[in-house]
Amino acid sequence: MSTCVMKRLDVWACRSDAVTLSEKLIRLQCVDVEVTPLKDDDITRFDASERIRDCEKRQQSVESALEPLYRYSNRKKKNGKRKLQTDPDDFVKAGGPADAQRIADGIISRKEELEALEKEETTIISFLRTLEPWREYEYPVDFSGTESTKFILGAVPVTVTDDVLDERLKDEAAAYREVYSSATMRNMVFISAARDAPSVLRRLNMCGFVRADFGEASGTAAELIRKCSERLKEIEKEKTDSDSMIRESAKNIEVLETYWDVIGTELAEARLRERLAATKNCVILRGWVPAVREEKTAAVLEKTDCAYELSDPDENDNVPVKLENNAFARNFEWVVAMYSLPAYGTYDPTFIMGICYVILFALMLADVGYGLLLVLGGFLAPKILHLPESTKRAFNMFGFCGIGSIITGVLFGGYFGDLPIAIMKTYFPEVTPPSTLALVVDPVLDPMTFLIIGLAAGVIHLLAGQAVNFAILWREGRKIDAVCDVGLVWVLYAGIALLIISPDVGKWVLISAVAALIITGGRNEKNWLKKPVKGLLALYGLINFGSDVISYARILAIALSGTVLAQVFNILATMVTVPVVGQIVMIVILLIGHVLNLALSALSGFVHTSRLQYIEFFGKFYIDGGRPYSPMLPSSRYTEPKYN
Amino acid sequence: MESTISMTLWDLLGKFLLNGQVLAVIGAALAAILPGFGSAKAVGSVGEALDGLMSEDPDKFGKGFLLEALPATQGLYGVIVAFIVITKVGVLGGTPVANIEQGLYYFFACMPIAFVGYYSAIRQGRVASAGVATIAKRPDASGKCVIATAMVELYALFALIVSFVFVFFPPFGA
Repeated sequence: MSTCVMKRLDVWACRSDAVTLSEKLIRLQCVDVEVTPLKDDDITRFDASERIRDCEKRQQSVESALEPLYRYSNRKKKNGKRKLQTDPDDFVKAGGPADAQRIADGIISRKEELEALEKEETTIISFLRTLEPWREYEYPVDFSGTESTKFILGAVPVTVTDDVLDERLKDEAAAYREVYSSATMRNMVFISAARDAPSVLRRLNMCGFVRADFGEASGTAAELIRKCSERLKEIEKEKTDSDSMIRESAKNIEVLETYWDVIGTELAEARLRERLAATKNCVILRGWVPAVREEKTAAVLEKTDCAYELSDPDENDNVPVKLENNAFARNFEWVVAMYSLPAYGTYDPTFIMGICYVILFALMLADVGYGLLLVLGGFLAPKILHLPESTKRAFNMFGFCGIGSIITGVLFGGYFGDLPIAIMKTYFPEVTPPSTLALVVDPVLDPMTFLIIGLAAGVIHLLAGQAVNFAILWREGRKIDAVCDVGLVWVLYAGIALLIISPDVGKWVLISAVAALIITGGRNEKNWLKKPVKGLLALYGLINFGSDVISYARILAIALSGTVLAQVFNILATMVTVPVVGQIVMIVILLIGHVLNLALSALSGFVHTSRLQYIEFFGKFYIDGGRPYSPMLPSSRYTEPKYN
Repeated sequence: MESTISMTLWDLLGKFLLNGQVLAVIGAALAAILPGFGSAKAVGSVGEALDGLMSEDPDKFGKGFLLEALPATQGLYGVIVAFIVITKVGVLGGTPVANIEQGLYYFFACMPIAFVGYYSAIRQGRVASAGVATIAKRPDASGKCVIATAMVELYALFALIVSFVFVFFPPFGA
């Protein structure tokens, strides 16, 4: 299986048709548009920046209008629901964009009103706090005195008693009165002769006087307090009004969401145009289409005013890579992509890797219980939560791994660790429980056998990698390379294996394989002195193979840590044997413990299986460096566009 | 006079510290303590890096969280070995350690995971922290960061195997 065959698409069109062209290509949903190189000074990049800015601005306003609506709607944000299927054309024809923009603007102005009201409310509340101590003061707060007197309002600390004040003001023509005293401050009014006011203030300031600030307000404190309270009530009502208007608009969520995606698609079209090269009157596009979509693409372009050519890629092209696999292997593509996509036209190992992945993962997480949970979560969760395709595949992958875990769980005796045995020991002490539930071997009781099983799986995995390499070389016509570089190594392994079974035969097979490797290893080396060195280096591959195999010992370690940790939780859970309480404690500990263990074991299993694939398996044959195929698509954040 | 006191101290040491049971328990304790230290330190430092990332982009939590969870495993491996010792030396099953030799056996059996667990957790934490920084700039590289972090884990796993086999199958039968 090779990567998906691609066709190169070149389009030339009039500049005035660029918008229609981009619209049609987006709707095709299968064209990966390259940033067309500018080869000539006369050729410039197509400029769609104004359009992009406009779209982004509108999109932002819709987003800011949507945000308060989610608070009032009982609907979840974007996950956890099936996407609404809409025809954007119908939406536009029915005047949707204008309506939606009006709704969005309305909500935004309400939001701004609300914010302004809230700000005013805070100011009034803090002003009320200033006014409260002056409630009993009978003169208007802005009354600053008569022609010859000056009224000074403010507070001094309670430590400044009347005696202190008398002492301070004894040389001044001033009188004072306390209006209100709190635990820390005394609110006072000072009356002094107008000409003495500055020196009175100076003296007061020295003992911690803080002058009251009422801003522009006029009238007595009591009056002001009444007015403020009334305004507060009004604000409360206005806020409720604005709020209920926004709440009312919550029914329009879907209109706004559809509108967001319509703008999103416009934005995608504009971004596509930005990738075009343009002359004064003409635009040039270079893109990639999977060969299976060639006819459909041609049919669409046929109806568009443009010239186009669909051709096979040549050597200098940077062809995007798309993997195409069956319903099982498809779920493992993202694991391959996480390493790096295979170069265009090379072998796509996803299917074989998928099978190996399930086996290795299942050896690391050999447990029926955990396997069942993975199967349930992996296959049901994407259906219930309506997850997007890419996430669904990741879940399904763990589902398949779960199937493997159930099988290995039966073989190696894992049922939530040793839960059945632990329960038997606690609740049926008269029955002697079996020492293990394993059909083949229990990794805890006989780790050596399990280690050998793990290493054997590793050897098979590595041989599979080499077999893939053999097949690739053979198919490329490099049959001599295939036989000398891979075939002879296999003879060597066979010799080592025979050495154990029947030393006499094995010895000769081994010697001849080593000799053949040394002789053929340097076949491509022109220098005669270097030939034997290269040959000896070929033998070094054997040591590499050994260290690769040892790497699979991690299977045992991860299986052990998962199983033993599960047993630890089972022991802890069955420690309390008091009726009822014991059962409750048991269920709580089992739930928490096994969920934690499953999460950690699945993480370890995922990470280490991936590593074994990337380094041990891919290292044998893989040619990486593919550029991912990413066709330009209509926006589908909230809705699923269905074009007629 | 002096010699009497030192004799008494030596006796005390011999009686309470240098007996097999205590040595086995010290080994188990170190197997739980050192990797726990290492994992706590590593998870903590990755968590700090992750919090920094959260201030910029809370959506990347899922990706960063995987990295934070990875160096947590060494602490677990230590607990597993410690727990097996506990089930062998008469605390939760098994029989108390008979003599100093057996105690020393358990003590040294715990050392691989104790030391390798401690050191590998810290080093793994540093790779994971660097991974969090990478995710901040290139979220699509998160998978590769996870794999790079997992590379360190192998040595802790090897140490776990060694310690596990030692403590689970003592040659003197327990």
